[in-house]
Amino acid sequence: MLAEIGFFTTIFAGIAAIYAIISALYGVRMNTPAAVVSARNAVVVSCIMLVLAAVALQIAIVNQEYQMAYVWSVSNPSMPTFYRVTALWGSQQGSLLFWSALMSVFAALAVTLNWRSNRRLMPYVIATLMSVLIFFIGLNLFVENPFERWWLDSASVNAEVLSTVLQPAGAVAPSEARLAESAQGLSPMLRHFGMAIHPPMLYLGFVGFLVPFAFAIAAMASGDLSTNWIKASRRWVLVAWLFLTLGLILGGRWAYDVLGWGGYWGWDPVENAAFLPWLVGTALLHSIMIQQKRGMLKTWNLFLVILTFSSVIFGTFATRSGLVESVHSFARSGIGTPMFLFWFTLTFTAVALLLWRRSQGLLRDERQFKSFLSRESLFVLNNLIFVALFFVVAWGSFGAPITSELFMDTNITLGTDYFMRVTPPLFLAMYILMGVAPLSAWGATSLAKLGKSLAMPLVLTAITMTFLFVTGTNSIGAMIGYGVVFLSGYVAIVEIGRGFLARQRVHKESPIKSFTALFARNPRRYGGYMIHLGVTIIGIGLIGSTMYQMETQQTLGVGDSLFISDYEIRYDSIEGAQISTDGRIMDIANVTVLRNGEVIDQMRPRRDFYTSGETMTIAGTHSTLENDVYVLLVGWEEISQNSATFKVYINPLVNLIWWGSFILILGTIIAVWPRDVVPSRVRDSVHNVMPRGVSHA
Amino acid sequence: MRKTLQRLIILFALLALPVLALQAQDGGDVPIPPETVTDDQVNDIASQLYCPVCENIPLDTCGTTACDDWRYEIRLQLEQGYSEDAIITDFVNRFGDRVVGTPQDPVLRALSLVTPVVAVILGILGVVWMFRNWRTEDDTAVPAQQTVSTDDKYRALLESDIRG
Repeated sequence: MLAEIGFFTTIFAGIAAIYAIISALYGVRMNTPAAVVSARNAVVVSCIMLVLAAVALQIAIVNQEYQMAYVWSVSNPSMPTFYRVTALWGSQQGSLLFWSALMSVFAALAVTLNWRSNRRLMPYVIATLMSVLIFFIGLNLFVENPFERWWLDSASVNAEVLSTVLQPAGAVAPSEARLAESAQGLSPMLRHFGMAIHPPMLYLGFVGFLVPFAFAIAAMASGDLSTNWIKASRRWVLVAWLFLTLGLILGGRWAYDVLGWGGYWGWDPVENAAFLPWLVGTALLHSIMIQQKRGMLKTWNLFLVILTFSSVIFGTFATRSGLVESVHSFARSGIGTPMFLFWFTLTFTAVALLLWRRSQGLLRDERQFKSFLSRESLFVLNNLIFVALFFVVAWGSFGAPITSELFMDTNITLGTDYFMRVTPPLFLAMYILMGVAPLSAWGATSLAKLGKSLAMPLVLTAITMTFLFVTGTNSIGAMIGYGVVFLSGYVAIVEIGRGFLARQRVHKESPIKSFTALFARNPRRYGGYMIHLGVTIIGIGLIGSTMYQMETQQTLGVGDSLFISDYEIRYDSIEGAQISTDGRIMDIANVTVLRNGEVIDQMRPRRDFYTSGETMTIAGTHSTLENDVYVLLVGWEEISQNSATFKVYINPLVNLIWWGSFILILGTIIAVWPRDVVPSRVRDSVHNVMPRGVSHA
Repeated sequence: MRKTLQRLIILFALLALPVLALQAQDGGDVPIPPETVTDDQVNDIASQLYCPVCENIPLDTCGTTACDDWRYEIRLQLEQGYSEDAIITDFVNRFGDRVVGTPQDPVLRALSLVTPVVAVILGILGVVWMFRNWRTEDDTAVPAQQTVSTDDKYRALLESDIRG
């Protein structure tokens, strides 16, 4: 029953989406507002249908309806309920349906929340949103259907197994007990708390960028190329960016906890595929400010929106088609060709539309550039850095491997070695601009004024660098990195401090009130500074954990110790072949961590062996702000009762990455928080006097 | 004569000591006795290689049996006195440039590393051109107020609302 409900609601969602496109375009063409209203309602209906379909699949997984092929492939009777819930996005079909449902929710929210303020753009926004949604619904219905069920063809000699949604003539359902017994279960790599949040956050980030893309297409299609589409999109860009950032951070944490290699970012092509839209999305966040404030970079902003969403679709194609192989290959399938064609069509159409509008002269800047030393020129440089990072990461992940395979008949991999050569100078430049740009003024600023603003952060940076040098930081690379990162962080702190002191002087209020009022009065500005502060703390963590990481691997007998940095790792005992409630077999080592002869922690690093044949290495970790002691029970050496092989990492300052991320997210929430600057009655009366479409014809 | 010979031997020994010490530190072409090859030495080389069967997974962290064997092979080669470069080159010769993080083949290496540098330089030139273009576009710039047709009424209403 659930399979039928899910299947037919997905079909209805598709029909509603097609109707929405036709009705919206008819409405704008024939100047019939009722048709556009009807299209909006169809968007909401489509959303309800897809959410119902996703709920039906979720219930089927939780209720263990193993006749459904997807349920059979991602769950089994020994899996706890928590992982049954996360199994919704645990493989290709389910994650595509989940993706479609999230996309439909974003579409419905975008249309309803912007309905009054952006009536003229709406028909085109609806048409764009629904066109993309239809493609994903099509994938769910025709390529990766999560509602297919197992059937046994009783007419065939060998009782052939069929996989269809509806029962074929002469086919019977297989035995429930047999299906439950053979059910495969979720990939062990996905059985982690991080996987409960990481994929939904990533998907929310991806689908979130559809909304600004739809507004950009609508602006180009309608000819309303004023700042209306930017105003409507900015918050959506921030929301999408927030979710994508969260997704990337949680992905890093998952890798750190589950993949067992002591790191959080491996420059894996699939990780990079999610990083690419983040890079251009960050550039976009900055450049739309220039258009809002100065009426400049109109073409560039449209290009960035297109590039961001295009890279989302390309990343999805790369992740799910098998174009690149990685630890994420659990989501591979045969959607490559339709996905590639969709990506190409979408990008080509959007770029053609952009070039057409540009050739009409509708994208001219409203102001001219006055000085190299202005906020807009520094933001342009910031955009250059992000786009350069986008290019070098895209080239290393996809460009060079594909070029060499297509034209030189050779497979190559560009790994950490390549990325650590080409990205650090660009990241350094990014941090420098992050420090300097907020201090410059729109239009023009003088070198003396900029120097004066930078004086205090520079002094603080010099003091910090002296302290670091005296306390033993001796690498030139690390000193340069820390210097630049600290400078940008001190700029944010000093600017927040200036605002705070100014309020204190004027209002004579309590420090807490001054501080909160500062953020409440100008959330964009001070939220932005908090984001910069978070990025600074992440930078300190990245430099520490990358440049000063230590590792060793040794085989120890029971009672023996290995020494690394000023830590002693003592192997106490092993608990072999422990059987878990979910059926996996665990080898658990008991390890004591000592520092200066004193016991500071007891750890239980382990190896999990699943019935599917997969093995997981789960680290034991002693975490402090100073560093992580990360101990692995290594799998590639014989483990016996007498000896075991351990790989131990010391990851300095790695926890600053997670704490910095927390501050970054807090800053983004402050920046994106709705601020009702225009009373609703004014908005309503403005809506009534706004002219109807500019270029409907 | 004998005294001179003794002095020469002592001087030679004194000169040879640091050279021998440096040679011992370098260790490049000196075979490592089997018992002294450590897991860290094996991992140091394995971390520079990628698993030839599971793409994009470094050899030192790959958990497959095949990778166990390759790591053991690295250990054997170290024991036989092969240098780090020789072992990496041997892997590249057998499995191709995909097993290293940056290709060893000069053409592929140049393609991989020079392309992003060229692209970034072109980007910088593009921005410089844009800055220059902005400065010369003074006459063609569109006045801001002409393009925001609906904002005037919006602002008027907003101001009247604020005035009450």
